[in-house]
Amino acid sequence: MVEAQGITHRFGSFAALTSVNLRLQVGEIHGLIGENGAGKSTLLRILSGLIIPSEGELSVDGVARRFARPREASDAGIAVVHQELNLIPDLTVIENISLGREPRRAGLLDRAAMREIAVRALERVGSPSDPDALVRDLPLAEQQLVEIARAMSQNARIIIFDEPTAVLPRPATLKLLDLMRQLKSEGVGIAFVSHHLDEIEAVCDVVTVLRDGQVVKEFHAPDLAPEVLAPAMVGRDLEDMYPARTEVNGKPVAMQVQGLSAPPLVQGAQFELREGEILGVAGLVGAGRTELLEAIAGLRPCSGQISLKGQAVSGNARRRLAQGIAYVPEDRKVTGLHVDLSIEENIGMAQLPKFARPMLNAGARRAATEAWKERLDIKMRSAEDPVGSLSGGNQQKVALAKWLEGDPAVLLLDEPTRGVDIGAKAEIYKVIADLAAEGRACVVASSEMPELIGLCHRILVMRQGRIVGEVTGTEMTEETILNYAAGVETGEDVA
Amino acid sequence: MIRWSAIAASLLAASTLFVGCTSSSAPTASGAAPAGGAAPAAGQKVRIGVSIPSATHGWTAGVNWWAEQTKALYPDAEITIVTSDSPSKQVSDIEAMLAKGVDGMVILATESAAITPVAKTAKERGVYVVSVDRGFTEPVADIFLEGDNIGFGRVAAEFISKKLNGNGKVIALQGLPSTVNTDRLNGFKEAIKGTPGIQIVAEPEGGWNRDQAYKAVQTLLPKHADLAAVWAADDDMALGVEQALKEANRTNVWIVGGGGMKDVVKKVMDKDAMFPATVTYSPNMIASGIHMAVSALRDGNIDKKRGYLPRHMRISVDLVTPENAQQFYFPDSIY
Amino acid sequence: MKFLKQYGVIVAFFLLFIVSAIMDPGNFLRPENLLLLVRQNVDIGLIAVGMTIVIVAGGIDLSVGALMTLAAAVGLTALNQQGPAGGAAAVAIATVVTVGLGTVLGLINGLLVTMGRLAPFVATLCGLVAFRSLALVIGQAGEIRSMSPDLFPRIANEGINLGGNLKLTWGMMIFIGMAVIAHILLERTALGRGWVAVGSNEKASHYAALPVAKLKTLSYVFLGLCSGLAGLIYASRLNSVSTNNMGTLYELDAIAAVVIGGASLAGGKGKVINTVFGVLILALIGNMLVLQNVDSNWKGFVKGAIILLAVMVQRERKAS
Repeated sequence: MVEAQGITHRFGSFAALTSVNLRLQVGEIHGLIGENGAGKSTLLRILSGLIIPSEGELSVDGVARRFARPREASDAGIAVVHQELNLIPDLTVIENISLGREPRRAGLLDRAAMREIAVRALERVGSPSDPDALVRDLPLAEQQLVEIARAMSQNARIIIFDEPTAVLPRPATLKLLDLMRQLKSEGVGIAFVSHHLDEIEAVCDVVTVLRDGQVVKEFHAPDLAPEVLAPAMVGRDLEDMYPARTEVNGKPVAMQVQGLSAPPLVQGAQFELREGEILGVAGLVGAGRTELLEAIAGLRPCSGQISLKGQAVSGNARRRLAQGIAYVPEDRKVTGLHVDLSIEENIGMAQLPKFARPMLNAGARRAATEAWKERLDIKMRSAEDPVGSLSGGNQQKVALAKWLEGDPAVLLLDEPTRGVDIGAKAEIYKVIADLAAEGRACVVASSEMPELIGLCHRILVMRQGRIVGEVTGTEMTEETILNYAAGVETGEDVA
Repeated sequence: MIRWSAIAASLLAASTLFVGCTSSSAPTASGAAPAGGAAPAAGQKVRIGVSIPSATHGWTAGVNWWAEQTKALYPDAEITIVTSDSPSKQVSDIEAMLAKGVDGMVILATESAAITPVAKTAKERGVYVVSVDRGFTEPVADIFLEGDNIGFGRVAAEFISKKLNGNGKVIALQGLPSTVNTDRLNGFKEAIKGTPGIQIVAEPEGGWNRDQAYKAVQTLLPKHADLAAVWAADDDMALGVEQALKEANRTNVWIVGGGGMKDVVKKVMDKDAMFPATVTYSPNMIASGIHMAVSALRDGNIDKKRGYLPRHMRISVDLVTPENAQQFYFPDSIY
Repeated sequence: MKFLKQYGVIVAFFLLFIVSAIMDPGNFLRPENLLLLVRQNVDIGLIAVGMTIVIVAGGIDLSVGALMTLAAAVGLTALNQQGPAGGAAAVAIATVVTVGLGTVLGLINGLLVTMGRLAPFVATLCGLVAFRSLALVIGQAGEIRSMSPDLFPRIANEGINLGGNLKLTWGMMIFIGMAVIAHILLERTALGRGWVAVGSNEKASHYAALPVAKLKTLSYVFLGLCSGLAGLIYASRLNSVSTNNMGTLYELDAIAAVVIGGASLAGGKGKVINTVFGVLILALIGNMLVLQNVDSNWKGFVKGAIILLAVMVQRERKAS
């Protein structure tokens, strides 16, 4: 059993955590939820020995402990499965599992013992991976199992899962939840951090809600419905998550896509988009959602015709952007934003010629930044701060501003609310609806079906690179979408 | 100590002698070749490997030039010239030449100690080894033509002391840190010590090149208003010093460099007031080494010839003055 | 505090300056000595300015020293082909050839990196050895002397008289001019912002529809131009090109200056003005080592220690 008492941690004058108490029991799944910035990751870093708290005590099995290094925490039986997996891509599964604790014989690696440890741990977590495969070559979900196997091989009694499902496709998520239940039944204690409240409800015994660095409430099963948890997280009653849809029937066609192919992941895509319409693109991971949007935006080589308000669109991404097609990528850190650069720099980035011809007009860019700050309610201290210092939701707003600055007619949004907390999600939905109301056409690709159902006028479902279905109105249910997405089989429910 | 000009003369005489001698007794010569025989069979071309440092400054460029010139002089010998930019590279280059097969090796070592083992291997395989400039740490060479770096500094120091009448301030401009540099600088300082009135006011580094020498002296000139002379550890650097002095209108300061660069020798010859003298350390010593190897190996009979050839010669450092400059001036050399 | 983080190198320079002034006020503070600090380092300075651009754009260029030598060797050969009576026209031809060839060689580096998809380190390492080798071939590994005894050396050695024997040479003015141009390009134009963007995050720049390959190539072209100018000034200073040792290790000195100036070798961060002060710090160290007659075997140690110190002082302290 791990217990944290009266934990307070300050970064400079800012208190990230204030007098937090938390008790993780073996044989129990403990949910940890809160909006971004609520202090979850600081708490996890303290538990895993990455930082030493300013005040407060940690105890393991009633004995006070002080973790100066991650190694000490893992020796005490606490293992962490990070969202960004901590595996070495160019080592094999076996080597990763024993990494840093390799069994030795006569000073040399004991390969046989390493293999045995790995095989046993993989078996325990039900991993199908080849122990000799390079981690680089494994799909994400399998990599995660390797990481969990590593925790198991270290005889961890408490495993902390830091947003493990954020990067997983649906079937893998379901499997992972099953594994967590199984580990619990074997007497392992689990701390589970997730933005997906349905997952929390499905597996947790206890849920601690953090807000502004403090524990605001603790909930116990079975009283864990999202409708109960969400208001505690955001500290206010959520207005309706999804704004009302505008009527688009009879509006002129904004974009027409015909026979668009970017092999192997986009094949013969064909659809129309009306002004003011929000079109969803659903599909399992690998179905080709991102690739479809990138092909439209000119970011990957493709064949087929695209026309914008009757005008044919062609050329590279720069030309298409100028013609009015903007693509906001899913991964803000890698592709969407320059996280090290300032907010205003980012907002000007996709429209450099506009702000610099040839000399940079810093004043105009600052004015644009301030305008977007007002319009999208971006919470920032200074336009000169690096965009990486903002919360996920605000980063996403900056990304939106960056591409809206060019006044596009069609906005392609890829996972617009990934890694964004629930309060900010609602705001982003509102922004998207407002943009549509202005007459812009939006395409939203997402792995979160409730989001598509709540937001879109119409949803295209992709499977293996093809658009296999289109649902509208009352047809828009998770079940129908999953039917299309997975072929004919019926989708299973989380619980 | 043998004067360089004397060596050249005797060498030419010796080589013609060998040619005459062996041509009349060719059959016996091939029969008498020793077991590990360095000498090629009669009628075969003599194969000589020449291993020298890459051209990283004027003097080594001169070594390269002289080696190529000498090669052209002996169309009947198969002379392979390989340049190496580091001791380890030189070791592998020599090994490669041994593997290919040579009768003789002429080596100007980048570093004495590092090259000794591979020279020893060559010797053990019966290859005739001529060492030029820098020796080996063991007596493995058949002939060692030694350059005199201590003398390089000493001869210049003696001239400076005399010209200054035992009184004055000088800058000693050194090259890159290396054995050669240390020997030259110490030779210079030791000899200066004998004249207490001469003061070495600075020992800046000129990196064996004109630009660095120019900058270093340029920086120091304002500090030493009463400077009388500059000694430079080679002629590349001496030219940099000249430029710095001219730009600062300090043409009353004069320079003694060394190495036998043709431009500097010319200046001395033309009685340039800034170059009253220089000292020799001519890169053509590699030519002497090649001459010796060729003449020793050509047409066999090596055992007998050993008795005619010296084991060790030190190439004297000569003071070049307007009076004798003509004999050290090689206008066609690139150095 | 923010100023210190952004311009720490300027503070470091003035600290070193004060220390030097206290140690040897008589010699160090002479106006001609202070001018020498810039004049002797015009070539390194020009290359460092260009190198800042390349490094900010996420690249590196190891070929600069060899590149300037090759450009100058060809330039001088062109000068000499006009004969001893070539006059101003010959000098103009040499200038155009040297600077033009430098720029073209920079373009080759850039294309190898972008179209050739080679790692910048590898592509320019090839240039480092290959350009030098070509220069050795042209100069027979020796020196190429200019046949313009009077006119050509003026580029580096003549200029505006400031009174006494103080001179602002054309070379110094070219350096200052290029530094100003580079600063404006980097801070005030779409091109510069593009360089920062590409160096900071190449992928995101691609998604923001920036012309990534063009931007990267142009950074090498600009450095090639700077290196060509550096070669011109070097050749003019000595009125000759020593093909075997001109510009050796200049790439490391230039990179050192950029790093002292606080740029990140990972790209996306760096300021031209800070690099200029990085060059001045190196110049100042070299000047003091000569003036103080420090044993030449120790010079490298002192230089290394001061570079280390300058970089450590500027290092961002992690806030969390």
